[in-house]
Amino acid sequence: MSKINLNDVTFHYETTLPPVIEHQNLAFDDGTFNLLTGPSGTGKSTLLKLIVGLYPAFMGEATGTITVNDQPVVDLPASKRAQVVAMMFQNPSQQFAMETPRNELIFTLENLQVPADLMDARVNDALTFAGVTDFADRKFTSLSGGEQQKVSLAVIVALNAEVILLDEPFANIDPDARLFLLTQLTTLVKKYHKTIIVADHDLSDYEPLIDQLYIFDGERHQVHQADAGEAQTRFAAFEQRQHQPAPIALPAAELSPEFTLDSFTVSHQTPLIHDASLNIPQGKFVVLTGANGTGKSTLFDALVKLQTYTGSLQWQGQEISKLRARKYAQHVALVFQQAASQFLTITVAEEIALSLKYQQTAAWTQNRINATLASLDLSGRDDQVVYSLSEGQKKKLQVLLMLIMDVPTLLLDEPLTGLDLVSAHTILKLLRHAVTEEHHTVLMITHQLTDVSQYADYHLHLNNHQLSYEARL
Amino acid sequence: MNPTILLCLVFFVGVEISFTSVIWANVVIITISVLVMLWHRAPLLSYVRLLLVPLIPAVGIWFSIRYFSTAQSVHFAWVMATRIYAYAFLGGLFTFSTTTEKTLASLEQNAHIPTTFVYGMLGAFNFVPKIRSEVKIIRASAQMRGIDLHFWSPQLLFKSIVAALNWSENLAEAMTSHGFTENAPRTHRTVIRIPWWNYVVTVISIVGLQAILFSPLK
Repeated sequence: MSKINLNDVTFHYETTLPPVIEHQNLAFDDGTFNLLTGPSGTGKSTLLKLIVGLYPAFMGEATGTITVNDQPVVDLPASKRAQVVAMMFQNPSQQFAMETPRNELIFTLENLQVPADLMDARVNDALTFAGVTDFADRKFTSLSGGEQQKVSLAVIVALNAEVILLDEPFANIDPDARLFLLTQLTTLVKKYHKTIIVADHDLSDYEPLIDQLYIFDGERHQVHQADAGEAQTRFAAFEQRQHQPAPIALPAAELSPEFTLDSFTVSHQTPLIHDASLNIPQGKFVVLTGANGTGKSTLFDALVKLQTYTGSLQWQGQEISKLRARKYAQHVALVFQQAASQFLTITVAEEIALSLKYQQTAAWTQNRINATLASLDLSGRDDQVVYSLSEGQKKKLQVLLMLIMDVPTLLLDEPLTGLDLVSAHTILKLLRHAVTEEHHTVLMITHQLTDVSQYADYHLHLNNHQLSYEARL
Repeated sequence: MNPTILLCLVFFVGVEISFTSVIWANVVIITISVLVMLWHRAPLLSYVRLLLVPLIPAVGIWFSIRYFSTAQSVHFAWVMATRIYAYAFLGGLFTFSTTTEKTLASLEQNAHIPTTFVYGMLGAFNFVPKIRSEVKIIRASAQMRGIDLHFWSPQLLFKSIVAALNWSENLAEAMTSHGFTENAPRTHRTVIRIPWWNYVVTVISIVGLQAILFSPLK
């Protein structure tokens, strides 16, 4: 029996834009674990937000009907709807209104008009199931991404919703938390007969757990259910695409260091890097890897004075915490993980003009910029608002803007996310050029390792609170 | 005391001393406020702040009235100076007697303020630390592009507004998906009552204030 039905659903963010979802018919069965996959930016989140009724209430225009238990979702008031369909969002920090997990659960149950005398038991059960009891009264701002997603699961359990939607729920969390959440989700399906839809582009660990695989086809703006054969092909292709490490050199001891860590310790909500001592060489291309939530971005924040630390962290022999931010920013700059953080004006042309105005050398001329824009497939977008670019386009523009600045040392936090392989190669080539020809230092965090070893000099790995150079990448 | 009752009382007292000119009343209000703050173990720094922040306006108004007004009344100069301190300490009294959460919960349950307003405020308070860290990131990112943003820079304002709009959208979605409907009935885990002695304290305070304000001894 189907639990969720989509009947000829079409959705636009704006009527002038092409539809994200077009004439979609789809059914999800009761008590099943479903995985929705497809390239990033195709509309997986949009589909989930439609099913949970946030769209078109908050954004966009929709036609067609979506029913859960044969009832149109849009007709249910929020307090009823939340008990039928609940959702876990991609960004864990943006899904809570209260200050602590316990208060968020109480807020939720009050909204559902649960009688006060039943509330505590329900709160405690949910906290226990999701493994939240130990930090139920800590503030959200002090919780890690993994802990916040556990709280999100606790809320869903407290809601006792029949359908649970998860939108890339593991993007910001560590592997242990991911495994725990997957186990608890499976319990919800098997033992409590819940229906689950997870949107994820990373297929690892799902194959034995799921009942159905759904694939979002970005070209046709439609989702289809994969049959057994197609599902198997998909999983096999994913396995095959998993990166095969290639050998890479280890840095020689005599290289002059750009950064020196000595008994460096940093924590952000949880302890991350502990007592690390090593050098990061000057004029080289170093790749930094490590599982989600281990502290790679926090290390970058410490390197650009956005995060306090203990021990010593030096840039060219000077303690970073003692450097003047404004001066230091002319030597070491960060390409932020959130591309939008880098933008200061409105259109593509304005952003480029701004970088040109403040560039440190004349290495980037208008001609060179135009040629690079063409190679990044960004030509002809001069007047487009930067915030309306796709995530991949934002990333490419962001890297280019920082390259034009011609800062001697560039830190890049996941610059390849959401890029197709051709664009990724173009970006890597640009970075390699900056290192080889312009003697810049590049330190790059990435999950996307395909072919990266062709461009990088060294591989730095963060695991178990420790940093070390690896001989393979 | 119940935050709603206390808020009404503080507001009433504040309004009444605006229309009367009895130095004594202001001094008594300041003294009671300090006693309440001592009772709630307010940190020493908060007294210092309450004394220093109104200092310039208090001194300023004292000199203006004493030397530059038409009447040049010493009495009225002191009334105005102590009144400014009375306002400041009434604020201190309220702040240390309750918390933001308790006040909003009481306004929701006792004063029946619309829940949209109450939870909107609560959400906004919880966003303050996030806004701070976002502004830090915006400024750092601008520095890396060669621009120094100050708190009056339009670009900083623009970027902060973009971030705030994004958050408000997320907050609204988060609340809706956790079952919140604007102004729909809700149950309350902690029911906030108004104890009988609150009314007694309120009546005594108001009567006491009238006695000081209108006594022939002043």
